[in-house]
Amino acid sequence: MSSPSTEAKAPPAGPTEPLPKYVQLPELSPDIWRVIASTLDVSQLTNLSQSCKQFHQAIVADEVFEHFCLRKYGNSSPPASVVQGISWPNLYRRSCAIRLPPSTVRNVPRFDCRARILATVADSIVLFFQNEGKIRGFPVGWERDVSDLCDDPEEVIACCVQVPSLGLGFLQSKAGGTGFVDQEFWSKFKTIDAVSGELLHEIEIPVGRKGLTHARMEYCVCYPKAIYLAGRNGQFLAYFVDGGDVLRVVDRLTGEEVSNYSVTDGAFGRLFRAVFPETGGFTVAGVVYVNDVVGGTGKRKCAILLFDEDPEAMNEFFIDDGEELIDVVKGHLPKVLAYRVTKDRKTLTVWRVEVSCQEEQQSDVLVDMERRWPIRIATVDDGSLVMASEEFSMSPNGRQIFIVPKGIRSNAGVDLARRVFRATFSPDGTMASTESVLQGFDPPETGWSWTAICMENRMLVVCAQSAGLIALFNLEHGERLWSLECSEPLWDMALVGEHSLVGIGANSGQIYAWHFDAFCKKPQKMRCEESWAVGKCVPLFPNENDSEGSSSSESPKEEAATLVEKDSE
Amino acid sequence: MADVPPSQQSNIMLKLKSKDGETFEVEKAVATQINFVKGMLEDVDEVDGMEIPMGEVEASILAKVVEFCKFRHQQELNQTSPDEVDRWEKAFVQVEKPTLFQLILAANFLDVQSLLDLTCKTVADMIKGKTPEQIRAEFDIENDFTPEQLAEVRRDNAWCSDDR
Repeated sequence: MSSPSTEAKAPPAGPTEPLPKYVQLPELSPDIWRVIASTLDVSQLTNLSQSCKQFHQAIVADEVFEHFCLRKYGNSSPPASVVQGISWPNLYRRSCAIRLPPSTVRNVPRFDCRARILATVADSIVLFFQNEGKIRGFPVGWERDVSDLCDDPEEVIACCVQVPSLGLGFLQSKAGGTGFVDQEFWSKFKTIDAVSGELLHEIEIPVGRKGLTHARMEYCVCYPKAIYLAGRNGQFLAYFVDGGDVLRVVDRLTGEEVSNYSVTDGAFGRLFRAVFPETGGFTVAGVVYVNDVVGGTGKRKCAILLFDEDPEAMNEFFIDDGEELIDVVKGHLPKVLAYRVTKDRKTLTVWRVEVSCQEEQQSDVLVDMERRWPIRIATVDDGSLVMASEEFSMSPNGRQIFIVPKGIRSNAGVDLARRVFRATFSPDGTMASTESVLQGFDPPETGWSWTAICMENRMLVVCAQSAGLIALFNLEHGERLWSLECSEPLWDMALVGEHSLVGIGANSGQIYAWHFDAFCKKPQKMRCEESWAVGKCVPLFPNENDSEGSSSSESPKEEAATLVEKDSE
Repeated sequence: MADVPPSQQSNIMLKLKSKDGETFEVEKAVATQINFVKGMLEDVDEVDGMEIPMGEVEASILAKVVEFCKFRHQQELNQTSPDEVDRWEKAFVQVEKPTLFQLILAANFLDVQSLLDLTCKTVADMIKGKTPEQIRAEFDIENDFTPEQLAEVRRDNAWCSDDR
């Protein structure tokens, strides 16, 4: 048997060189600390926590803290008597707070139905209560009946869209509206202030003319199912009418039509859909449409993108005939494009990243990820495209990504993402480097309905709504920072003010809010840069937190997570 | 991936490529001690000679990982005695702290649980029985607490030692 290498036997030479930051012992990830801590007893952990700030912060990571509690109490959280009987240490308050039982949270007023989060604006949240037909804004507590936004009793709200300047726009729709062939229909688009609930202004926009009724030779209006913001600063509203055959783009403030794309417009084969970016970086004011083309080895479709930022440039790429385009993200670099398609038969979602070579009318698919559920794709400042998926491996030629669903528990046909893949592109558009950065997340074995929210392209919140499981990942360094199990499934959730996650309890109707500002204080590989600095994060409902003691965003001792609700009674 | 009889696996070689471009040619049976590699091979038909990038792991660290995996593989084949394993492992982790921490990171990333356990235990052994001052000395860490902060930490930790 061979002995370990000579390097292994070599004595330490000279003074210890400063380590690169990422290998400093205190900055090891919580997962690693958990392994280390598993062999230490409580007194050793407390000694460790008194050694220096970084050790201290490492010790209070959730995973280690749970181990700590497990050792002492036989449970991953301390007993209630401990929590209530002493002045709970600030450092552990987060762990305590996120485990507060629902009874400590007051109910949303008159909540007896499922609510939907319509919008999150600044630090406010707007909910729609289905059975009451009410729209309410928190924390101000304004309330509007949906009928306030309609002009006559026959009208309902067709759709709503969040607009700039804290607005929320609603489009009226007549449930049984009918008219004659070629008659133009107009509908009111009312914008309210999402913070105060006040009506800001209203415009009329054209909503189409087509759609044959069953009983009468008349045409009813096909109201848009969704309205998108387009153009810089959301100056346009874009929406499909006439059963998807026409895309109209109108000025958001005047209602004046600025563009109108139709299948009858010559080159357009089949109008597809407008595609708008999930993240910032560019705006879309045009239209994606697909021509059926025959060429190469089979029938393919050509998707064409028109970008507001460069109307003259036409970006096009091909997708297979059996695929449907879902979404497109354009990298900061001009030639890099990522898009997502579904495949009809396999019901798979495929993310592709390709570099277009416009001179040669070719493109090169660099990444082809076939997964049911990629979490998110986003562009970051350095031109990287960050996308979340499961484990992957690079093919020998370095041109393709294999997805390896190792260790994935599959339930109800939905796989859980375990890895984030980052592809970095060099200035000429070629992929410069890749890395897998996300790991270590084991979900409970229940049904799934996942939501993922990307914060500042650096933090990723993954939520299993049906299981009430929430986890926070650091995209930059690929570690799971934090996870918790809510006491009930979450019916709907949204990010508020970019630093708070709000969810509606499916059983109780309570509003849960987790403030991520305190995660700035997590030591492991977190960058406490300006935007993440403690004190710059605004609590969701600042006035409501005070009952728990320390919620001031200016205080370094603030709680890291709180459960908040609003009682307007 | 098609199943290959164990007797033939020794003929299959893989190239593990470090971050800095160095490749380590190892038998598949050794390489699959690394779960990261094992997972990659599951969907691939032809693996002989396959080059596998090992992420951010540098050559010097990857060499140690390979060395560890070879030992583990030999251990499985030869039924090495526990004493011998213990001696080998103690010698293996006799490295400078930067190397040890890099090994921890590599073991975690590459999902080599036995290596992660060994290296983390080594760190834990460095901590055991030491006072805060001795821990600082061990890891060459400055006490950055103010007296008030340290008092607060002690106060916060009090609940741990209280018989509650």
